[in-house]
Formats: sequence, C-alpha cells, structure tokens
Amino acid sequence: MRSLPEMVASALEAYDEGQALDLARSEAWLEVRDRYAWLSSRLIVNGHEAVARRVDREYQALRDALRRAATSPEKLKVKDDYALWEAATEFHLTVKHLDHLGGRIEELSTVKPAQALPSPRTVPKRSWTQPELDEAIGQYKANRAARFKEMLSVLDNPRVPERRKRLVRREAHRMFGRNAVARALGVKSAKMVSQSSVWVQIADTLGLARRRRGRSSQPRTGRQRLGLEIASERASLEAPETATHAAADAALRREERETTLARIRKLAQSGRKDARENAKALYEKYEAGEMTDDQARQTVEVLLEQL
Amino acid sequence: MAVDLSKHPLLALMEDVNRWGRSTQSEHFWRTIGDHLLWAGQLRDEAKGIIVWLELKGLEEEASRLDEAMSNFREAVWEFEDLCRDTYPPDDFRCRQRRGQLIEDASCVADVAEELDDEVAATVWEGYDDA
Repeated sequence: MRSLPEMVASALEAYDEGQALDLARSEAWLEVRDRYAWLSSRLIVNGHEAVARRVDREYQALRDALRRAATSPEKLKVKDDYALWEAATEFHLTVKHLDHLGGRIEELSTVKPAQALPSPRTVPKRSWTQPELDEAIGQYKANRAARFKEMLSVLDNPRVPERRKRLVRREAHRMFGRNAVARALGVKSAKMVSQSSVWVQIADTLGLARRRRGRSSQPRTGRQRLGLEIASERASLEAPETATHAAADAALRREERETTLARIRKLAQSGRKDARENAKALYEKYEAGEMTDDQARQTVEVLLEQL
Repeated sequence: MAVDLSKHPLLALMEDVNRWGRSTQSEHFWRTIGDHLLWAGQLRDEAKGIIVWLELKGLEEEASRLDEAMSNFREAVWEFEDLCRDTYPPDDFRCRQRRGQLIEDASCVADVAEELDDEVAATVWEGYDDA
C-alpha cells in the first residue's frame, strides 16, 4: 500500500496534469482522506494532541484550498496558487515526517492501552413494554438526530447521484434498521421494534424496506421511495459485481472506516477517566482486524455509557 | 568547544539558514536563483521535521514559534519567486528589494532557532537522529 505522502504527491500531480480539476472529489483524494483519518486517530489515541491538531488543521487548509481552486475560473497549477501551494506543501511535509517517524509515534506515547475492553455485545437484553420501547427508540433517534437529518437531506435531494444514495441507505439500515435498533437497545424480540409506531415512522421517512402484510394493496405515502428509485437500488444490489460496484463498495468501506475512527476519536477526546487508554486498545484491535466496524462502534457506545 | 550539531538540530538549522542567507547576499545569487529556491524548500523540510518532533514531545508553544518564523520565510520565498518570474531580476529594483526581505526573514528564522536551542532541554533530542 502506498504511503500517505506518496498519495498526496500523486494526487497533486494528477491535479497539475488536469486529470482531476475537482481533486477534492476525486478517487485519489478519497484515498488521501482515508489514510488521513487513520493517521489522525493514531495520533489522538496515543496522546499526541498537538500533532493531531496540526495534521487536522493542515488537512482542512488543503481541502479548502482545493475547493476554492476547483471553483475558481482561473485554473492555476499548484505552484502558481499560493494558498494551494502552501497548504499542499505543509500537509505533505508533515505527513512525510510522521511517516518517517513510523513506530516512534507509539514509542513516544505515554498512553498505555487498556488491558481489557468490554464486550461489544454487553447491552443486556431485557423485557420492554411497547410504550417504553417507543420512548427508547425516540431517544435513540434523538441521539443520532444530526446524522438522521444529514441522511434525509441526501435521500430527499433529487440532484444527489444514485450511487451516493445507495451508500446512505445502507448506512441508514445499519443505524436504524430493525435489528440494529433491537440490538442497540437490548430488545428480546425484534418484532416489538417492528410494531413500534416510532420505528415505523423512522423506517418510512428513511425509506427502509420493512416487511408488511398486504404490502401491494397498501396506499403509498409521499415519503415511501418506491418506484424507479427503489427499483434501481434493488437492481444495483442484485447486479453482478462490476467495476462501478467495486468502486462503490470501496467507497462504502472507506465511509465505514471513517465513521468508526471518528467514534474512536470521540471516545479518546471525551475527557472521561481511562477513555484514552480504552480508545487506544480499541484502535489497536480495530487496526489489527480483530474487530469489525460494528463491534468497534458498539464497544465505543458501551464505554461512553460506562465511563 | 565545538558544538556537536547532530545533538542540536535547532543549531544545525540555524547554521543552514545562515549559510543560505550569506549565499543569497552574494551577486552569485542572481545566477542561481532556482537553486536557492530549491535550497529554501530543503530548509522548510528540515524545519518541519523539528516542528513535528517538538510537538510529539509536547512542546507545542516552542514548535509554534519556529512555525511562525518559517511561515513568514515561506511567504517571502513565494512572493520573490512570483514577482521575479518574468523579469531579469538583477536589473529589477523590486526584485533586489524583495531579496532583502528574504534575507531578513531567513535571519529571523535563524534567531528563533538559536533562542529555542537555549530553551529546549537537550534530552528532548534523544532519539531524534534515529528516526
């Protein structure tokens, strides 16, 4: 795998050659963003806040400069655009030095990873009454209100490409799907979630597929995205693997990783007792492939509730 | 007693920047502008390595002082390059003036590097060369 400084250099070369005028949205840049998320998390869980702030600041400056350059009528090369040249060089040099330091980042860390992490499945299952569950689901949604709103704005926007909507629908399933909610709240019978009017409203709003009796005869509401959109989604899900799907899946995996790493960073920066030690242990397990995205995020949730 | 520069990266940077500044003051500079600008890029790289190390060691304030001095120097380098690109620099008054700014900003970097070397404990640099 190429190193982050190599990725930055090659993305900027492509930009200069006019291969991707809007570099900030190019595949090359998505790779850079992915590796940046790893690096930033690695620095934070190891207690190197100052360097993490530098990397974040320089990354944002570069991204902003790229966006300005992309919308500017003048198509300048990197070395002719001071803001872009400055931001690109600074970010490139910082990640180059960090790459060169390698394991030093861990050696210079004063954070010791926690010896044990709670099981990601420690949300105990319990019995709920339907009104209690409705209220808990309402709270579950309220805790994720910002993301819910973002997902809805993507799904409701006719100008957003179908590929992007497909990714967001998958995320919506992972966050608000019946089984995800049942698991997160420790509901013994997932059927109770299906019967919750609060959850039904969430599922309808996000266009989540759910099993209903007599579906074909049900009147469709404006929120139900049936028809061409759903048909195309189903077709794309059922179609054989293609280069487009492979790229979409790679993008999905990147988004998953970024979301998980953001959750680990949030835990590390929560300021709670032992949060950084837990975050470091979690990061190491996740990076070693010993934990899935879902397990890592669930563990963060459990830790944030416990700490 | 001669100082072992390998154990004092800030003094090594100061020396390198001063050498660049002296070379920039000579008339030879006008024939080798491109080389001097590349050399300035190497100084930027050298300084960034120190800044990142200081931050990893928790010396954010010290790192920020060097970063600020380097930021002014970088801007002066870019402005010089931008201004003198389509001219014959030795005959251009503004380019000669701008060279003066370059030398002044480089001198500030050298001063900050020297001050920081006095302030930062020698133990901070343990392992710096191994990286």
